[in-house]
Amino acid sequence: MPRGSLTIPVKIGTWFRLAALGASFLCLLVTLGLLAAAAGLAAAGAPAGSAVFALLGAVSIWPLVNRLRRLFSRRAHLVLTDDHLVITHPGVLASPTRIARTGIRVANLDTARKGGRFAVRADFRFSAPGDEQPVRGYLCARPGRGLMSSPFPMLGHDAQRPNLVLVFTESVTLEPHRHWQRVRSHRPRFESLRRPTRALLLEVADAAAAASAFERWDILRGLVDSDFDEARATAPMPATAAEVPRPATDPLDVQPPTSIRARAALAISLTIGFYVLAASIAIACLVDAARAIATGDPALWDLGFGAVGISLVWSLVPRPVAVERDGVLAAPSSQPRLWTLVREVAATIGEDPPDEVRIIGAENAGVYETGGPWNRRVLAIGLSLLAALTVDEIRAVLAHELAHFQGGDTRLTRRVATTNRSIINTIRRLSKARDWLLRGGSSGRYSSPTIASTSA
Amino acid sequence: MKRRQEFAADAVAARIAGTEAALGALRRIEEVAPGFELYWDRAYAGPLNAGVRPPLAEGFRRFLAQEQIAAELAAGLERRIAEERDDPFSTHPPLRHRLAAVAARPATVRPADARPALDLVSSIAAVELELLAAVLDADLLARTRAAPWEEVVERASVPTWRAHLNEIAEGIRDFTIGDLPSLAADPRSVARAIGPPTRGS
Repeated sequence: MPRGSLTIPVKIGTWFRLAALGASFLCLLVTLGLLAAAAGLAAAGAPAGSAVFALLGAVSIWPLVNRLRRLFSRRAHLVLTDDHLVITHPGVLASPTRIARTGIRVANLDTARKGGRFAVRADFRFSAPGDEQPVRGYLCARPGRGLMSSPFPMLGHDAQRPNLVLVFTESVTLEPHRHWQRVRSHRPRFESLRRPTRALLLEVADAAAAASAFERWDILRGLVDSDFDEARATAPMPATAAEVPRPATDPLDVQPPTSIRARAALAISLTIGFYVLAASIAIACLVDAARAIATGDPALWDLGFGAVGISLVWSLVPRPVAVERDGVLAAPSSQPRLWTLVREVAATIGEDPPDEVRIIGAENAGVYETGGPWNRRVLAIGLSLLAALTVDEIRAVLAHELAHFQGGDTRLTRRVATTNRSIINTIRRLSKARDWLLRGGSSGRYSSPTIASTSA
Repeated sequence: MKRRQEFAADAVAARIAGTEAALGALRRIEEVAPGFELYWDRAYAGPLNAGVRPPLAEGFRRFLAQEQIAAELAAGLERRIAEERDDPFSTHPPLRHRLAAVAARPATVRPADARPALDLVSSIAAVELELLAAVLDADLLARTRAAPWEEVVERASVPTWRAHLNEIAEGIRDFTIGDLPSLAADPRSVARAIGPPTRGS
């Protein structure tokens, strides 16, 4: 089956590139440290330990490197078969997006890049639920400037010279990887890709290859306004990825989804591995420095090793995350009825009442301890719960939360939060599972509705 | 580990407050969770922008009591209960498991106290003001005046309608009340006369 394949560089924002650079540097550092440790052990006459270190290094670094390579890949691919277009990017898109030939109305390739405006005028619309507003705008690219029509969802949002526009007959959803959505400082802004898009604007690495690839389809031509409307009105629904049967031998490099347990195990072992590695490097550095100092004539770089070791140890010491207390303090004197109920419930379950009760904006309730020498046990209740529940339901909520104190559940809160966070950070990069990330942070929800966005 | 704690705490809640109240609270919290944002967007932000600051919690209570909203939220709750997956990484077990666990206990009956929980809070206006101050622009908050919900229509909605009317006055000048029956049959003629809405006004 003849194919046409295009490579599309994905523009990646400065911060994300820096993060990639930092991560790669870290990988390199860890590998070097391991090799140094292995060499040191071999020199000290411990070949078994040396081999263990070398093996450990290879095993724990490889998945990380592999993942980084995919994540920061700047190559997206379009593959055109006789009847399908498939868009892939190993790091950006959760799965390849497969669009039937009939789902693409027209493609416009701009080979004359110089001269400012991209020769497309488009009336494009989003059809997100509850938002049927047509959005009219120019798609244009100027040297040195981004797109003018910012709400347009696309790969390579900041591409300065996009030169391929695909207009779909119906909405196409490009599902981005979960972890890309969590990063706000980079471009392209993939969260917008979750909205079904009617057109895609891309920068193609090789315009001539693109022209010959689309030649067979005979849809390469200039765009006019009506393309967008007619596409909606006349064309049949394109088959989505789910509806199209996969060819038996799919050449696409599609990784089967790993099971959640496997991902968790990987994440946890990586976390442990990370600490083990860092600790061994620190110990190796310190031992080297200590030996050098013991000889009475330490070289400068031995002292440097010592400093590296100390700073590593310092950064490895787990620190409790500061718990911030938000909301309005409800003092016993100002909220006597609320406190009466709190004390009554606490007495019934045989638990001391909390030190503080706070009324918060979030739609939930919770208990936590602030920790430190002035540890305070805090009970927080959402104002919206007080508005929505009855007194006996609030009593149930209070009993539930105070029972957490009783079980000693909160004593470890901060330590567990620290560990959870580091593990979650690791898992986040390793998987696209979404739920626990969403449920992770609920306290900030009150501030999310902005009043600027609504007008009476 | 965390999940066992949740089930244990639910059991305590049922023992102290009664099975009925514990089940009610579990369901109700989940039910109204999406409601507050809805309330803020649809009902509260408008008056605030117009310089009126009605009671926040009281308004939420009334908002939830509206028939349409209540039905919407109740349907949403049933859907979420049915669709919620048992995610091994979530700190809380799925709601349906928690409900089932509480319901499976020997029932504890406690005298019901169906007063709204807001009755427990004193000087609610001051509490709300402090909460709003934490999330709102100080300037915007300073421009608002506290007013009961009964006055919101008069103080916030009517000026907004009037402003809107001034915008489209040119377009609808030629229509009279006698045109209403024919307009009802052809509402687009009004739209044509008014023209496209101007953004940002």
